[in-house]
Amino acid sequence: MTATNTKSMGEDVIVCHDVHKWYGDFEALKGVSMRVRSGEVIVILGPSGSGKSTFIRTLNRLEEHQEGSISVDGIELTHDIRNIAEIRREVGMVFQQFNLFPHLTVLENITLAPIHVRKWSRERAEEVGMKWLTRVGIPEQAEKYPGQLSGGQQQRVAIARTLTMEPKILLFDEPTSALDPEMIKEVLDVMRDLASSGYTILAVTHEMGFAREVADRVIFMDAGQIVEENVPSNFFTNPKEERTQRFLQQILNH
Amino acid sequence: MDVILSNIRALVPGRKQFHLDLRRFVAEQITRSWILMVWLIAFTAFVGWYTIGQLSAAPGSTTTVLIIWALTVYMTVISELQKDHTPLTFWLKENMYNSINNVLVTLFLTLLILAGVRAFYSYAWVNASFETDPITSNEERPNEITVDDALAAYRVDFSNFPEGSSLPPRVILENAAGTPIRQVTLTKSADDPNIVIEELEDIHTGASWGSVIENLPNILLFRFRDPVIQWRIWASIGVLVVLALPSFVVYRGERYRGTTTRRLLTWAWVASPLIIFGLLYGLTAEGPLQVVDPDQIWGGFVLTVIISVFAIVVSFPIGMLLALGRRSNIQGIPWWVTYPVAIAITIWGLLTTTPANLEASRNTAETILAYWPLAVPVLAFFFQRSFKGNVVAAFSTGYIEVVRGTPFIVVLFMSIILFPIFLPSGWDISGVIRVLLASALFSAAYLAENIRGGLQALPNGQYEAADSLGLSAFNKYRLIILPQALRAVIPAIVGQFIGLYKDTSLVYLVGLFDMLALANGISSQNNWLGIRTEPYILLMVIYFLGSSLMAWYSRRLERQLGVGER
Repeated sequence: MTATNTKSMGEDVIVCHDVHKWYGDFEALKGVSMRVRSGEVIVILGPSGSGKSTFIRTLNRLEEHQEGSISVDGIELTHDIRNIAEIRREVGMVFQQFNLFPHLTVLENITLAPIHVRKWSRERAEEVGMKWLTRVGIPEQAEKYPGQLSGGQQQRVAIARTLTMEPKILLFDEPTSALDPEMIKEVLDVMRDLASSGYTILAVTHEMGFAREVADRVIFMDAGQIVEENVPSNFFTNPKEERTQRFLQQILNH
Repeated sequence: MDVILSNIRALVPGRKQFHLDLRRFVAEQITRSWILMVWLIAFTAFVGWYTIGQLSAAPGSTTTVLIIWALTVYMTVISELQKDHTPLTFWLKENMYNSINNVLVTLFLTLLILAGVRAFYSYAWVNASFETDPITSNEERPNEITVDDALAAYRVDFSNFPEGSSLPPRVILENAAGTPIRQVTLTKSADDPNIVIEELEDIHTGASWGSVIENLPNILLFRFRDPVIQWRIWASIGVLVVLALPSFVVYRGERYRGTTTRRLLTWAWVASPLIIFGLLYGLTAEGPLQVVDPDQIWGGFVLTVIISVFAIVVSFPIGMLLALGRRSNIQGIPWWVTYPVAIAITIWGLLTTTPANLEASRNTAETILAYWPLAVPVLAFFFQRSFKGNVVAAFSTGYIEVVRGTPFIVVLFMSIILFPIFLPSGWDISGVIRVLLASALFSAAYLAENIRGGLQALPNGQYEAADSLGLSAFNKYRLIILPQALRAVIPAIVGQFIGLYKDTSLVYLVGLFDMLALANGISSQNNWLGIRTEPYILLMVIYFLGSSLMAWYSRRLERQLGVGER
């Protein structure tokens, strides 16, 4: 029984069509098209330089795409700054390097955006923030500064910061790659928890166990293109493409 | 007590064994190279010669230093041989006596510093005069010497007083050894055409602090000494004190965070420069807050503070905008707009202005200048190439580079001499105000580069995190980027502000009455002819105190904000 059957999938929340992206002469994305339905958990795999990070960063306009169309939650991503602001409110992102604000306490990190973007009162923001901090398991660190926390704790704060904004879609950009092995688990546990509670998640990661276990769909990218899309059971045991097989061999046999 | 005892014990060789490898010691310390040996011999001879000289010049203090030096060297050597150091001898070994050379250097430098201190002490205290009125102070002293006596007994030097001098001639009387000992002020009396002695006074060889004491109110306040307007200075200081006292409470800790009290106080701080400007400049044509002419009234330390504070406060936002502007990556003007416009300007200029200018040209320079439209496409090309049509970045970069390439003194002269030419007739901005604006605009360029350094030091992830949370550009910079960037460059910014504070003395050269001008003026006052050293020492002290205060505050701020921690 795959995860697909146990969850109810909703409407398409992300629709990409033929997305192209150039860095100067280098074409990082060569026509990526995909749909993501509400509540779906998607893991994007691929060798480094395959454009997978670039791709999910185009979804909240941290990178600008030059051709094709991306619409998120029914809003088309264009130069229009209002559209971008609206999409960023609904799309949360967790980074490889955490990117916490070092001059603010953990709780200030978490409540900053709700107060200034969602216009919540400080009390409400702190209440919701503490709820999420408790959910990721470190409510006692609220008054500390990020520099005083371990990598795993920092990443969990970053996740709580993203979730306090109550986004509909979560983007994870290699969230465990900068962590020591013993801290990876605590972050993956939080991600598993979120995956089972109905968030739409797109995660770029090298954690095959996580992909196999919680993904509804695995997308394999190489050289700026989607090579293969499959449910995890088929993807790992019975890949269609030759390039995917080579990649899996390298990953699993190392 | 224990410390003293243990150190005394170090004086006595104990029963412990000496650890001495004499051959190794000589090899390391003396015979390592012939240059070292030659140096040690020469340096020992030099230090010996210097010490003997000092012994005869100041036997007491030099002997004391020698005894302390010999004792501590002995203590350190014994402790080192026994490998049993007290904290004192260990510190001495590490810092003062860690080689034969350094043992000698320590002695030499101690004596040198002592000689300097002694000289300054005798100049500034022992031989100094604190009398503010040297002439009347000598009145009670019987003046038994007449001019004839003086001329007969002493060598008289009239050379200091050229003909036509409006100052009363003074005669410096020297003794046989050539040391000035008395000075005589001469005047012509009405009934006697001969020169008569007016005053006779002793010349002291040390400092005349009276010059400084008498002129201190002038150097600090200048025309604000006038009791009618002096209260404005005290009111200004009062405003600052009234704001500063509650700030110690309100800005400390979490208690007042986000409260109306704190917001009000912040606004009061923001408004305080305006209030103080109103006090010092004036608000009305008549009455207690009568508008003053800053060129005439502002001077001395008051002017220094006004220029520094104005330049710092005004240059800060400008510098911040310039720094952000230089880094801006807004959509530029596309080339297909820039180039046609540039070419159109060129053609228009060549057709309309160039013929007339060529006609009127009187020299080669003007002929070349008449072809100015040809420069437009070149500029347009660089504008597109370097800035991709980004006007904001081009303006900021251009401004910063032009100002940084200009000496401050040139900017000051331009503000005084060149700037009025460009003003519409009938407009007149006072020289001080022009200097204020020039200082602020000059400082802004340097500040922009300092702030830009802080902006560049921030990892890109900070921008991305702020963006991905949906913060507006304004909030992103206000809450995330600038607090971190500014914090990182506090040392550089404060360094720049200290430089600015000291550079205010340059306004002396464009004719403002700053502290330097007033200090220089002392040397031509009747009582203090030729006295310069003492006023300069006063300026040094004032500048040093101000600079140290800023440096101290910067260090405190860095500690509070945790600069260097991430």
